[in-house]
Amino acid sequence: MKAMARLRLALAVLAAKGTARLIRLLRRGYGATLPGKVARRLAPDILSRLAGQVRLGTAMITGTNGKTTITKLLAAILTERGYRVFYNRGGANLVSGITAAFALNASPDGRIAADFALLETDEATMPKVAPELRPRLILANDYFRDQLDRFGELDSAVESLRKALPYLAPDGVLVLNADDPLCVGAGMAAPQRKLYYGVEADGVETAAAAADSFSQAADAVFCPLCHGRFAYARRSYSHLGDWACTRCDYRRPLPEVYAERIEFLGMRGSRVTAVTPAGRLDLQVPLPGLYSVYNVLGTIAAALALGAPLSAVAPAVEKAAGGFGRAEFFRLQGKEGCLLLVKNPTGFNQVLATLALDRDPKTLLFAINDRIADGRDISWLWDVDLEQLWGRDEIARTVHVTGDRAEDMALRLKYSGPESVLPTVVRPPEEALRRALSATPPGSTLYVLATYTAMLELWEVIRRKGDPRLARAERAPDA
Amino acid sequence: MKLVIGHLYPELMGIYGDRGNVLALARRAAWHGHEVEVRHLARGERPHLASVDVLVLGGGQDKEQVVVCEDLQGPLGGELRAAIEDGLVVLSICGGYQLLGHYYQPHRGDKLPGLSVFDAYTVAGPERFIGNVVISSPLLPEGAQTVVGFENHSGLTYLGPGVQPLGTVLKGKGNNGRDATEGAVYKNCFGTYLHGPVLPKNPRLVDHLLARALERRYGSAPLNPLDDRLEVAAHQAAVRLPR
Repeated sequence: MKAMARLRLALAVLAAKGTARLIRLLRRGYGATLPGKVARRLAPDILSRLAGQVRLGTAMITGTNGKTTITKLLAAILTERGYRVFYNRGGANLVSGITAAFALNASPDGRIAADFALLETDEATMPKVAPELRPRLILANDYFRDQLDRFGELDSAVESLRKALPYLAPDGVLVLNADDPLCVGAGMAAPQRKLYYGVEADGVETAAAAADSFSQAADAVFCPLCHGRFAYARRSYSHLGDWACTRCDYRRPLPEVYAERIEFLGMRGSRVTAVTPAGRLDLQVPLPGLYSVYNVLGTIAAALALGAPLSAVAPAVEKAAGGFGRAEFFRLQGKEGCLLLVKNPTGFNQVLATLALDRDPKTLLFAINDRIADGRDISWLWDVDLEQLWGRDEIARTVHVTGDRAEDMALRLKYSGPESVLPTVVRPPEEALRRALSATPPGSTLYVLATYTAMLELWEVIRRKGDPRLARAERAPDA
Repeated sequence: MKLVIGHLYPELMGIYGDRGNVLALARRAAWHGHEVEVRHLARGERPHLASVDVLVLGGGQDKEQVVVCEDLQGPLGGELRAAIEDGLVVLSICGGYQLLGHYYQPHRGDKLPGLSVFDAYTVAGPERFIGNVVISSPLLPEGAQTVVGFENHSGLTYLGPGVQPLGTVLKGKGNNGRDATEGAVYKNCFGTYLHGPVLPKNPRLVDHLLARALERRYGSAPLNPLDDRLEVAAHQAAVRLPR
């Protein structure tokens, strides 16, 4: 019986590897999920059997934003330290994608020789996968409205984390963003050790947060315990900050890992002084915006919890290339472009606020799809403060719009600004990219703000025709 | 002429981009040549409803809906009901729509009493209706009666004899997935499950609300034709969307 089970496991691993090879041969995308489906069909217990072999344990990274970036950064730090690490790539963060990551990293006879497995995990997938992974660490970065058509409501995304927590090892660590009351609330009842991270620096309130605090996506304005109103001693953006209930004594826990000082350097990133239980750290973060600072703080907390030394953090982070499409530079038609992923109001607002950090007028292309991976409901475009584009300093000079829901985006832009500045709708993404680049003045950058699948399409065009280069190294801050 | 647009509970009932409805009303009224004031009416404030021309109440999650329900059981609820009887133009969406019926019975917890503006009640159903919707509304001019949106609700709403539906479902589920009705209309008070948000892509519906508000306050409704090419393009693209 035991031999049979081992044979099944080996067969499932082989089938997954074969499927992945076939997909690559046929050039059908990244092949990140189908191998996992095939493997689970053959050996339904494959995930728990492979996960159990990871020498030092698995870590699950979840939340609305930052999963991909944190997973990549954490892998870079642990690898820097000499650990053997694998992780799921390209946002393949559902059950099949996570299974595929294990199957493709196993030997043909079903053995895993890794120290750590890092799994970015979709919010709703947490309770499905946690019982099989029995992770040693769970990190939740933030909870925002994102694809509510899939989750139903935000509360159910938070509830999913709560349901996964009993499967975190009793001596495991729960790494939580202290500035997000939804993260803190989800972990409240968990008996495992909690490690909080957050921002303690003053003056980080972003343009978006300052602009109109009412219009900010207000996902957690009220106390989950007593329905009282939250008050913020300091606000980062949206519902993230130093919060406390005005009615009961529910308040933000003090973070053990925090940013003490942040200096923003526009699209080039920021300089951060972080305080940790292992000491103080000065860091160049090569990813733009305050949201990237949160990602880095979460990464540091998780790395320390997994036993990495603080000295491994800076070299890995400073080399980081970001998550897939989270600010990637490319060259095409002799122009420079920058791809930025937008998938929910808060992330979108952060990108706009970051673009506004320097006052130069920008050439913009919006690419909005409504496929499953993007979220089929695009109502959220109306929660984005696009009015920022036309404020005191007009950020937008020329605006093109493309994607399956190009007309919706165009309409949103029309209702956000002066009638004189109407966007140009160009349906095929390739044609839109060509025209937007033509409209970009020499020496200036085209900023492409795209939803997930729209970004995949554009990235494919760039890979075929242009020079996708991670220009971050060249653009590293010179000061 | 001046119109006051009130956004009721913007901090609580503003999920799924419903503030786009306020924006559509305000901008189109301005483009029609009227003076516009937008007021955010947060919980705990006592809005002066007599000076409001169009009131927008969005959808919210269960938790927020409970807070709003409690507040509407206070003095504001009675004032709102009286104003609607007097012809106040109201657009209520999803959770807000449910609270204007007799009651909402959620999956868990107590029945939430409503204002009984609509002769309708809502009970939580076993499945969640999620997807694109197209309805046909007899309120709109012939040949342009489609209304498009996106629904995301598990509440099933059943209309009584004292209320008209907003329209007939052509695609999607609507009020309850059974009787092909969507939304409700009583006097100048409108309820619907449609997000999208519903107004920007349905410019005829916006103008219908504005016309009723102008008529109520000033006795006439001069609305000039606007350049609606983008609105119509987005509307037509939405009509073609899969469920």
